[in-house]
Amino acid sequence: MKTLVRKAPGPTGSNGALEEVSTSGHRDAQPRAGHGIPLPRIERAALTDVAPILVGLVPFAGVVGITMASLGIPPLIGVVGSALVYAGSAQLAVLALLGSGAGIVPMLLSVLLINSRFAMYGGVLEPMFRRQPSWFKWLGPHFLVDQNYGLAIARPDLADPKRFRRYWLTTSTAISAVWLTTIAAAMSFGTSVPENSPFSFAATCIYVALLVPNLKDRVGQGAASSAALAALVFGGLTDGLGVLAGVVAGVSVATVMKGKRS
Amino acid sequence: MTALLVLGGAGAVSWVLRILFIGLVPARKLPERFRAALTSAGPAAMAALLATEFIHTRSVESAQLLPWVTGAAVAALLGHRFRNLGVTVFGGTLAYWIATLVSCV
Repeated sequence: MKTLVRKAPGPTGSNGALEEVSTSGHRDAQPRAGHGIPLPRIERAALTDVAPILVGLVPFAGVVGITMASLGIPPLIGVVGSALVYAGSAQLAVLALLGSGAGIVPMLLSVLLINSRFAMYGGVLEPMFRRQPSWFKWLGPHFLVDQNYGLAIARPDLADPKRFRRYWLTTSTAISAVWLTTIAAAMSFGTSVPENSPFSFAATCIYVALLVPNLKDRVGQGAASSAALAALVFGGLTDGLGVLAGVVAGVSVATVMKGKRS
Repeated sequence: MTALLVLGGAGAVSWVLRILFIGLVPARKLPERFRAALTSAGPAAMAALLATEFIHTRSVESAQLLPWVTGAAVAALLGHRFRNLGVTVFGGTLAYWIATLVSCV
């Protein structure tokens, strides 16, 4: 049985159109035009959403790969380690400390500091992971990064557990494939896109694209401006502290503003 | 082997952080006020990431500061106007590239 629903706005900007969905909540599989391979619509939407992000990942992954190669880390260990950490900023911080001969405790503390925002992201996404199979509830969050968090919260049409799972697995598979392949290539062949190439700026544009829709009300504006201010103040002191300070400041200011409003 | 152990430890810490409010202490069991506050974590994190990138560009690649600001401003305008990730990323990157070329002349 099928019904027409208004298609929810997504990061790709495809909003407002009526779309046919099955009453089970997920879009029916549709053949891809010009090819014989059927791809359900949510997977296609996920691939469309994630495509610009993949462009921005390449230079960053190249830098991570080159850094590991310069420390004499074998490619296999580098790729496996990157898959385990799955967070570029924290990994670069750990590699810098490893290169300077620091102990394990400062390394793990720096990871704790830099990646603590993932705990907050997890709290926001918890309703989407709630009615999922156990394997997905425990393994799916491993792929939580800034980019797919931004994509997921920008799509209000992911309430159906199966639909969210497909979307999350598609974006995560695409991101990890590009991330790990580029790291492996950079480690094996010593190739890297220069850090200040136009492609590296794509990552900045992604943050802008994910931020702008959240600035439509005063709470969002207050959270963003206070976060940016705190990150500017604390970011110059220690690597990784800026983002954490920004998130804490932004969330605190938003809480106060919501309290006053209510 | 040392590198793998270190990266494995970093991976374990990262995983615990990621599942903290999903599987270990589900967010639904947290106070309502705290959960409401978490919804602001997204815009706060994106703004903080942009600010730290700005600091990095200003201190390490100061010649790229003007192209960075130009590209970010164009991306913000396009993002506000079109709400489309592809258009925003392409337009912002193109503006950054053009501004880089102009600043080199």
